[in-house]
Amino acid sequence: MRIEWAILLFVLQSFVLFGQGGFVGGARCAVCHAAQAETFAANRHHASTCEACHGPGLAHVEALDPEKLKVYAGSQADTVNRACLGCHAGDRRQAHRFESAHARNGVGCNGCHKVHGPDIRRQSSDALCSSCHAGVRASFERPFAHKLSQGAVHCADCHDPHGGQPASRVRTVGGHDAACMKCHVDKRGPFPFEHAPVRVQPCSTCHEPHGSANPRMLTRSNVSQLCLECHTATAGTAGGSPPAFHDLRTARYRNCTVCHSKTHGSFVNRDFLR
Amino acid sequence: MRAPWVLLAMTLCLRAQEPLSGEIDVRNRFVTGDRGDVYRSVVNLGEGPRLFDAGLRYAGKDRVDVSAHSWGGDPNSELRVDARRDKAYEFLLQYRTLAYFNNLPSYANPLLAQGMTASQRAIDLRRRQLDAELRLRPRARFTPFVGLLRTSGDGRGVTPFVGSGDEFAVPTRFGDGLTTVRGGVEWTERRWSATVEQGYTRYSDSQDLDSGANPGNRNDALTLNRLVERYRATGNGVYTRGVLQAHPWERLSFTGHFVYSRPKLDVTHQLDASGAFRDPNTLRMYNSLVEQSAADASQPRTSGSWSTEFRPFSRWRLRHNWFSDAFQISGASPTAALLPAIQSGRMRLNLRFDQTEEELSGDFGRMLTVRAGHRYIRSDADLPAAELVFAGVGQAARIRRHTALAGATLNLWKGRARVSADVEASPGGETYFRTGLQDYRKAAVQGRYRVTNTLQVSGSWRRLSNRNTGIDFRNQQLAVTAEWLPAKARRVTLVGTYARETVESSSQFLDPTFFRPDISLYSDRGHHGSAYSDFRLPGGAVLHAGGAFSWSEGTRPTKYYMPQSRVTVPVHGRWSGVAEWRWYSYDSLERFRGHLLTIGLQMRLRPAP
Repeated sequence: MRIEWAILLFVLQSFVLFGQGGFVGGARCAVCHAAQAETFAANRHHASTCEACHGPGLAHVEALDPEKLKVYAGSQADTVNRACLGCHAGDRRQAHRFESAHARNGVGCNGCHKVHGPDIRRQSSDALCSSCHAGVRASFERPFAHKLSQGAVHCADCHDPHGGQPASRVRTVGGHDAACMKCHVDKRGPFPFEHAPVRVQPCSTCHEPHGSANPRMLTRSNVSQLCLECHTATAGTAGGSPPAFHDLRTARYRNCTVCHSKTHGSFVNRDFLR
Repeated sequence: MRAPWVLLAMTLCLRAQEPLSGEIDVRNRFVTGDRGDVYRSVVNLGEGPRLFDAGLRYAGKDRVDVSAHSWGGDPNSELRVDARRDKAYEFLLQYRTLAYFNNLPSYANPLLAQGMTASQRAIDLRRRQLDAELRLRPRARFTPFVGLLRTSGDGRGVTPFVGSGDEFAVPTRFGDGLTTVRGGVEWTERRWSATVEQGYTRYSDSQDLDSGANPGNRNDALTLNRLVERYRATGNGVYTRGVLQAHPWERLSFTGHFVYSRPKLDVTHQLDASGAFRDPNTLRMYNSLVEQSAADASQPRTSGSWSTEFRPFSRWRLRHNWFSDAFQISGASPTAALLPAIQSGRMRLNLRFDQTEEELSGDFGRMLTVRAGHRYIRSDADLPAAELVFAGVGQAARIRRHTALAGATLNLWKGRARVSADVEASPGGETYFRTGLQDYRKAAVQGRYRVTNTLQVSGSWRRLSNRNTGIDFRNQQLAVTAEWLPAKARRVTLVGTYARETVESSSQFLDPTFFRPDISLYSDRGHHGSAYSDFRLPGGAVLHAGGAFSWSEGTRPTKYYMPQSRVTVPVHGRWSGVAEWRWYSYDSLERFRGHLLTIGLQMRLRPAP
């Protein structure tokens, strides 16, 4: 007789839950998934229920079948991203998410973020970036580098992992300035006499932003080599050749910045002499 | 400077309170070996007591995370506060100081071969930066936010003063400041959201050169007896930013972005010098140089982008984006020139840049995603002339570049392994400068394999070859990293990275004196890596050992080593003792060796929740 009552109770409960759209509530999930429930309580998402991401759990509870739930482990990044953006799409920081290099290369939100753990990130942000971008991380070990290893800068100071405006791999500050100008304020301009490549090319044309074996993080080991890449008479490209008195046999003229000291732009001199 | 110590004292007083958790690490550092300019230019870590790290968390109704790093005189210090309460506010504050020192004689010193080892371009700069943002009612329908960025720097150094006919290395002082205040609101509806932000920026930059008698670089009859030179630049600007996101239908998303800014700058410049100078145009000698000039510049700039993602089928995505940027920089120096007469000048730089990109990507099951697309860049610029050659004549430059894009991502074993490959190729076209991409091929493969839950191996390979007018450039990079991070109970963890990178450049140029073609070759064949391991010893002690290295062969051979080890030993209760040794060795055109020894205490509060 008790079994019949139990079956009747179960059927009635199922009808009630079905009437609620098949949701069972987080407490029911915690019965089996106690470990996840415990860490999830410390996560920023704890105000949401499990079923907000995994879908209604009734079918899963009844059949004890993982296939009856939305499970994201092993899913395509696009599937994960769509689930997260279901809530986060309105966030201005996610505005360029679907065109970001991460999204295009199959790195989903859960590649960096934990939804169940107490901290939203899997590791500290720099360690997280380094775990995939090993080559970039190794560049910071070069003698002339931004001091990432000393904790002076972080990857996210310059890069937005959620993607930025097209044609830009770095953050912008104060409207249009590249993130470099947040620290290198004196290079900001606008200068009354601009050195054109500084404005129309990225800083990485002349500098290795992550690290270099060359002083001042230059892409070439001596200054004249760098300058002469543009400043030679060539049809079809801008730059122009230095005047004839620049005798490159002498050390004086192989050190261009000794005279042209304001190479990033000058306040008063069109030849960047002062 | 005192803030972190106050923070430490507060923590010690408050540690009995239940919701507080975290740890504090205080040490004293000793430096032995070479502590000269080369050491300071590369490492610059100093001696004395330091607050190495402090991380505190208050988890009550509000959750507040405070972290401090490297305070007490180090070149890089950071204080970070992250406070939030659900649906009420989010506040993020970051304050940091940065010291930059660079004094390497091998950089741009024409007298180095003659035994003159003093650098002609040296910098000793200290910078302070405050960045804060407050968001009210996050994730509500309307979320207002305000932000402040304040950066200031000051320092001294050596810079060349170019008198007529000679250059003189003179001491200089400089200072700059930037303040940006911004505010706006995010408006979020179910199918769309919009953000409007308005900002205001103030900017200042100054430089003073003061010198007495100076023989100059030529070491001939030309001399500088006295120099006083002052630059003063002040500027301001406003900017407006708008972002619109919409997903009117499940298969369609839009993002629009608009930014307008208008920075402008006013400059005054004064120069008063006496000595023996030569006018290269007339070859006449004179002994006084006086300039008073004013200049100004403005840069109205507008940029916008529009991106669309359309999903014709559930597993196919068509993405299109358009980006446009246009600015004009007008500069003028209506100079009042005194002795000798110098010319006034005007400069104008116009740029219009448009980029469109289309890409189609599709998922084949749970394992494979492929994508293919096309990018087109069209840009026109009026650049200032290279004045010495073409006085007063501007240069028109254009970019017209078609680029093919393709890629694939492979997900294996339920996401345990992922390999992504991308190729990009352009057949060439027009470009601004010889350093720009023109006829280029770019390829990248990146992969990650989670061998077990604790062992992960990742690797990447990249190659870029670019052929521009008279320049061949090739860059190749291969990198591998391995992380073995077992559960806390295990005794050993290991993180290691190795990268091999080569850069080869061959550039043809015309010798300006003899009109003779010549070739400039540059190569950098580098090995870089790091490996760090933690060993849990009996009694709760932890040994951290490892280091990093960087070798470069080629045009500038360099060897740089940074081995290190650290022992942490529990002393009593929450207290642990720390001893660390580091060795820095740099060997290139200049060299140094230095040992760093640090000894200190760590205190752990209640573990973080």
